[in-house]
Amino acid sequence: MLSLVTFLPFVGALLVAILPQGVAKMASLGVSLLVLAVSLPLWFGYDPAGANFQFVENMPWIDAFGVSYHMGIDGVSLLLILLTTVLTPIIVLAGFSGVEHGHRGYFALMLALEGAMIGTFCALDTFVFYVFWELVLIPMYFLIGIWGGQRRIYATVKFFIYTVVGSLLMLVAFIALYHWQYTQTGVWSTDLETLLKLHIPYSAQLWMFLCFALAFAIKVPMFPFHTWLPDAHVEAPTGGSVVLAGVMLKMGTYGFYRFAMPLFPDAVVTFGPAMIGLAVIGIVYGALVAMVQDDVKKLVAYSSVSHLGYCMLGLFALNAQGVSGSVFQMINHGISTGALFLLVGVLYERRHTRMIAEYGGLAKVVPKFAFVFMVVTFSSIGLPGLNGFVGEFLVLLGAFQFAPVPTAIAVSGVIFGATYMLWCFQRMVFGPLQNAANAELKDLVPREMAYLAPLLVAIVLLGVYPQPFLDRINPSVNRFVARFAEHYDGTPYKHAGPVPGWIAGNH
Amino acid sequence: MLALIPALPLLGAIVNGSLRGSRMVAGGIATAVVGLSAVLSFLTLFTVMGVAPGGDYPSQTLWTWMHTGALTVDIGFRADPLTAVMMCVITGIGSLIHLYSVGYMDDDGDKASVWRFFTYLNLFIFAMLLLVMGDSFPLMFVGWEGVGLCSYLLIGFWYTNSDYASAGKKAFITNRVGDFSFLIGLFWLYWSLGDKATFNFVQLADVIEKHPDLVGGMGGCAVTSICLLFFGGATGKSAQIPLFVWLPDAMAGPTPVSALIHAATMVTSGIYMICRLNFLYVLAPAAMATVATIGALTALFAATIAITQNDIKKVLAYSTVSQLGFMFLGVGVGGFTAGFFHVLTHAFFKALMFLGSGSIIHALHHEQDMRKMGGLRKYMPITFATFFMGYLAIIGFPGFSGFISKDEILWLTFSTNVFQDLPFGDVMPKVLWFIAFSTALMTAFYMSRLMFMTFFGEYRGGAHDAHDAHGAHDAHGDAHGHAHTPHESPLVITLPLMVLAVLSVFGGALNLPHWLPMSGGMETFLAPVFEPAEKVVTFSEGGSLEFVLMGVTTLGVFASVFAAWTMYVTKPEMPAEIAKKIPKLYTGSLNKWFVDEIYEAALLTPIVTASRQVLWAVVDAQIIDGAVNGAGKAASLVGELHGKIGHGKVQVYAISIALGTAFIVCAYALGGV
Repeated sequence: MLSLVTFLPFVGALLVAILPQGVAKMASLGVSLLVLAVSLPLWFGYDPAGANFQFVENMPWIDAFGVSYHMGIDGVSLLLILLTTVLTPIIVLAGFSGVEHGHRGYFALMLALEGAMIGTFCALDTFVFYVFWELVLIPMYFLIGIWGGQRRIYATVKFFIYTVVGSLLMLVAFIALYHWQYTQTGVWSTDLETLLKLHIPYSAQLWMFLCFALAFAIKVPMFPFHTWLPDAHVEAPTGGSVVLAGVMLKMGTYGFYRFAMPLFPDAVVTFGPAMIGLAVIGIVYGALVAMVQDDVKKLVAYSSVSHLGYCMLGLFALNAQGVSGSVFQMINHGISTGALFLLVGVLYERRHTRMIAEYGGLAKVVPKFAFVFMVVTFSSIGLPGLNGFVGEFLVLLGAFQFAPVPTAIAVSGVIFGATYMLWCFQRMVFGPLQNAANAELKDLVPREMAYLAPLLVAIVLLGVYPQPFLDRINPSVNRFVARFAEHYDGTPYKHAGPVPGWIAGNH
Repeated sequence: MLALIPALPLLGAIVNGSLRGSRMVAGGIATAVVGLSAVLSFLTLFTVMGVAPGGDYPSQTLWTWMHTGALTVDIGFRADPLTAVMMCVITGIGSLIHLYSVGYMDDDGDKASVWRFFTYLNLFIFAMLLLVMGDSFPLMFVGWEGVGLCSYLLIGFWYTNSDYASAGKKAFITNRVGDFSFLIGLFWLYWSLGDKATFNFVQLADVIEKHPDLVGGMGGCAVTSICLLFFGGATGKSAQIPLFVWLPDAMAGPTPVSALIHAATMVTSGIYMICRLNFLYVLAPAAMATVATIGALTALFAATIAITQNDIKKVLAYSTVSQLGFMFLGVGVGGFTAGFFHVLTHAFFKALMFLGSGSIIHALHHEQDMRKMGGLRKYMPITFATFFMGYLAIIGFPGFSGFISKDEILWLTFSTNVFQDLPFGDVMPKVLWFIAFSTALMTAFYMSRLMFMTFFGEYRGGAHDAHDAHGAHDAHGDAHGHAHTPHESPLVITLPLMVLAVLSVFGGALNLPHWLPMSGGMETFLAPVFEPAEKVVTFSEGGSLEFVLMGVTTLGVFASVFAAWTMYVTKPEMPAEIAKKIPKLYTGSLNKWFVDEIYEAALLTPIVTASRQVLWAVVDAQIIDGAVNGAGKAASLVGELHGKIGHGKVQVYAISIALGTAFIVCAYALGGV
């Protein structure tokens, strides 16, 4: 089942690549919809009560090295996979216009990217994970490098340097882990579930965690490893931005959730405060820098830094609300920020500029666009009743119980978040129509409404009735949290009284 | 059935948003759903009145909203007496204002978008009902933010005017500052309750009553801080110092919006919240003292601004800020019923006066400057008569609703024992009383000024003036500005005025003072809600002093009215002369004591400048990117030294691999393998 969902996009990519240019659009739309259809049974077949991995496929692959083809999902991967399979047809449909050349290549790469991302979220073997992780980079590299904007080469190189450094450190840590496995058990294995049973000494945990953390932190991106993101976003084509913000950044947070944190629980305790500190800085810093951007795509990019800060804060809160909220926030961010990039793309195709100052007074000219933009804006701000609030609220509630003072600082994000989004919205949509070039703008066409509508539905649905999603996350999250409790007798993670756990230094 | 009450306006909003009907269709649908909600609300009120002491109030749970770990939040409603009264105010006054709007919005320049107005207005009623009916904090917060959203949309309703759109944004962001405080309070409260943590109001009251020690950590500092943080949220929504700055700007919205949202309902949410949390506040006398002090100071401060404003809506806006201050003073001194009762009477008379001013503005083609009004009582007799009732109520003319509610607050302030254990606890009530007393006199003065400038003397609006002012004040494209004599508004506008006038006059009967027969209706009805407070809060017996103070206040009010009459009717040259004698005070008051400018210079500009010049330009572009680019350059340099491999990127890859290998070696050494 998982293999089908993972490899179907690759097959589709090959198909699109060899079919004639003319049918590339429809063929890739068909493939992406088929993948979506194939992924739906995962949702319905998933047992919400089960905490263990489901849909498991496990077979030996490279016996000599103990590598197995081990795939399986828990509630968190389930939601991330569905996010990927829902976003891909939307991205493909959005790519029907705006992609000016090389349709075959563009769509084929997009589908390959989908497959690689799904594989990343399914892999339970470190080797398989690493392969998919690296596989994701290649299509993205070409998508920005070939279909990107004017400074695409600079952006690509920067993206490449950052991620390659991260990947290599991760590889180093995987090899070290592999070595530990052999020295402790006498058996070579790259299987995650086997590796989780190791008892790695504290000092070794520290540096291995650091390697992983750096690799994943770059991907998230956490402050101060975020500067590749604004450039990559600005230069990427619309679809690239959507997939980057919508799914790829979550590979970083997912990496923390699946590997870096459970493998090295002692190190998590040591570095937790630092990670929370960086997360909080990211939340505030991202929002403040977003506020002063003149380029709307950069604004959204920095807002991602801020929003992903919430995800990290929640993960390191190490309690049910924080972690569930974090996962929920990952999904939210994929939907809201994905929608924002799509909307920016809609404008860019019509006016070929991303400068906020070029717009203004759009509400009169393109009311449908303005309405969708408004809903997405308020989703991003975290208006209660829409999806953004649920994640933010749970993250902050959970994190406050663990680290009240940093969380209180993070709460200021609700002010700055509203400030940059509403300021941007006002400058673009309200006021008199100042630029004559906007007078004849065309409102959303049916195709655009078709791909924006599912996102709007998700924004409302996840805000009003998030429980079915939380139900699937909760058991996995509880298992994740319990792992830390069992290692540390729970002390720093349970209710610590009036003095915050890590400030009192009682770990 | 309970859920139907908020569901109807939501349905109205959805239908109006999809139908996009004309003014009559959209307005008709909107008014009908709110009217229906009002009927159901009153039925609920009667049900609640029939609940025996200790019995169960109507409640309904729809579905589980969020459940994770020990946290469970339901989408659930509950109507206790406090909620039931609020529901009736919201839907009752709400339906009157909807009806009024059908008449008022007739000359909107952008006729095609009147449906938008009614969609937002319905959505507002829905959110406001959520706020008061939600049975848990998070659900209340949905309403709390939802009304903020509607306020944002309605203030900026004429969005093509950048100033109006900015006013909406300012309102939302200022409220977010309050929410920042509110949320921290909420998280702290939840955290301090440990494994008994809950967000459900009923359970919360129960837990706090049984285990007050849970929030009593740090020598009572915890509960005080929590209460202060919640109050911080209230200063945003209810426009108190230091976050009141958005409300005067909010007058950019259409006048019915000012009446409904920015006078009668939304801005009282802060008082509602404190009443709801009375069980928590009575544990923290220092927090209550802060609430009372901020309330009194805001009341006074806003009055000093209202006294010189020339825009009729601005006077009413500052008057609202001031009256909200009175309400906070009331709840702060422990008079929860008194503070809440002022919410009710204020909703009557201030909604009335806002709608009355709307009737004038409508008749004068969007003229809002009182200097261009005058003598309107001849042209608009119904508006005048009803406005006059509201006026008598707000200045505290004996017997009128405002008199009864305000006098109760003044007396309770004077006689409260809540502060007795605090430093200066014995003089504080007297000082607060004096501030409130002075404010009451100023209120009488500036409201008389408004009354006399508007309705008395001769009509000062001329052809050219009207035209100019039209351009200045009205941005939504209604371009005709002929001189004509003002005319009375149609029945659809005057009918709500009449209903509200009756309530303004007789509304006091709902909670007569203790020295009259049939006294304390509201007090008895709300007693179950304020039970925890009543166990703790005591007031001194006044005897004859109570009546002496009442007499002094009333005489002072009459004197203020007389002073205003002299200055604005018999000797109209006097105000200018006085202004010349005290130029600094006059310009200060006229310019709202430059609070906006101070905030701009002290907060907004530094934050934006630092973000742009330091965070973005230096930290991001120079430090972080500098390091990255530097590493990239170094890598390609090394690559070139080795030469012949090809382009830079490959070299980067190569050098990274080299670095990585080095890392492996170090790592193994460190790990001791």
